[in-house]
Amino acid sequence: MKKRNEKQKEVIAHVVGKTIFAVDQGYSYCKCMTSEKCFKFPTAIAAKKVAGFEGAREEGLYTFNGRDYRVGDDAVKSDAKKYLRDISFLLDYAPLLVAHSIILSGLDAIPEILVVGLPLFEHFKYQEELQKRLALFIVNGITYKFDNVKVFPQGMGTLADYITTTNPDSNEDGYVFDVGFNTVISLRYNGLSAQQEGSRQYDQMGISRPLEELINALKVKHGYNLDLISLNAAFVSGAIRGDVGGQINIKELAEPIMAEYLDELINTLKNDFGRYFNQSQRLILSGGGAYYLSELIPSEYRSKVYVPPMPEFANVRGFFQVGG
Amino acid sequence: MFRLCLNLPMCADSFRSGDKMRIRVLLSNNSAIEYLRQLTPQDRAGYVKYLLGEILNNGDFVATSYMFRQPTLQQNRLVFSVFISEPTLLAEIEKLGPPRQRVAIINAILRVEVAARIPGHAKSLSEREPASSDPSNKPKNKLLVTPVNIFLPTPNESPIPQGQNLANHICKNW
Repeated sequence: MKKRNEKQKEVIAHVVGKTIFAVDQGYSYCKCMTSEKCFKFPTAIAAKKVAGFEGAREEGLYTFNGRDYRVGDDAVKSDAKKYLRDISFLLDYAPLLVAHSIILSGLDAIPEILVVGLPLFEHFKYQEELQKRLALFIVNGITYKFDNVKVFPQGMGTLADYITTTNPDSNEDGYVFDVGFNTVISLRYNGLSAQQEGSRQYDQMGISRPLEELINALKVKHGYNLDLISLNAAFVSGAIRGDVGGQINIKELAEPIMAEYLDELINTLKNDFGRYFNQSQRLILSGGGAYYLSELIPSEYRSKVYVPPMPEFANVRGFFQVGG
Repeated sequence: MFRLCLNLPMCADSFRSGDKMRIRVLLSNNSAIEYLRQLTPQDRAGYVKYLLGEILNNGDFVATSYMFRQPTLQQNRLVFSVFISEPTLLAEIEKLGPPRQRVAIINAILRVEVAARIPGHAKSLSEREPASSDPSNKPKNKLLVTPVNIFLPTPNESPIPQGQNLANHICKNW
């Protein structure tokens, strides 16, 4: 960790006088990074029906384009919540998510450089649009103006993080597998440069699929109703208390489901990119899905696999690094 | 003898090309398990391909284009996936009704069809392509229970590119 902090300081020094703020807007969480910390919040927005009415203003509301919204954890509690599910949501609400993340970051000034991500193959089409929407916007009457908005394809952040953390051989070939909530990004690199050929984004193949199966198993076998976010938390702690007392070992229950999912994922990748996949010198497994899968890597791949620390934040750490 | 589970996209009202149909056959018949276990993965794939091809090309379903993933044998489960890419098949499945009803109907059809085919076909495949006696070809338990070692490559001597230089290097062919 100390090493990483030193690297961050070097990057900050590299852009003297300019603060960098990085946001990776995923389907489940927005991951954020400043020079001080990494943090996340649910990528959720809930609109209030009418904005700007008289009376005491409720706490935690954001006014944007004439409407009031709750964002992140506050939004999750609302019946009107909407989660990030497509590019139009991301374009429409990116300013709101960025404003919320800056407030949570505790920064006392608006950073000069903002780095954000877009899904791998939507980057070309929408990067200018997103840059435009984020360069200048107003939330709660505050003008957010960024001198520089950089938009990178998701997955490339993980590659940047890997390079700056491990300083691998400059000729290295490999893959980034960013297993997100909804999507899996497979990004091929050659000589540490991203390549379109051999790269693909798999929608609806993310970790939410086996998680839903796990939720069903918990319900059927233990009568336990959990949503995806609570399940995530329970998985990290390793166990949950059953309704009738006693502990349910959630990892034990998850293992066959996750193993089957991983097996399927590997077969899909082998089928789609057999030559590149088999010749890879390195397989980088990142994203929130890596928490569930890293212990189940088949032995034949173990020597090649690199799982970054806190893999969920690998993308945003990389965005931060390239932000300078 | 066995239980068959079919997972189709439960919430989808309509299918798209490339949607996946995952089929799990839970075997409880010892001789069937033993038979499948002794096959190499390739033989097992051939077996499943034959089995499913027979089913999907007969009756109400027509599938001229589907892809198989390598089926695996985990404990007593035979797991394989089919990617539905044939528009006729998609349309046929959608006509069956809402998602849950679809699953129930397809499940029932497959259960009957698979039950009818497993024992006889197992024998004929065995006669045609004897299982390999090479132990290295036998299915392996590929999954580890111990935590994965975090791999750290040997540091490169050259300096790490930073900031915009790093971005330029990563994106130069993108």
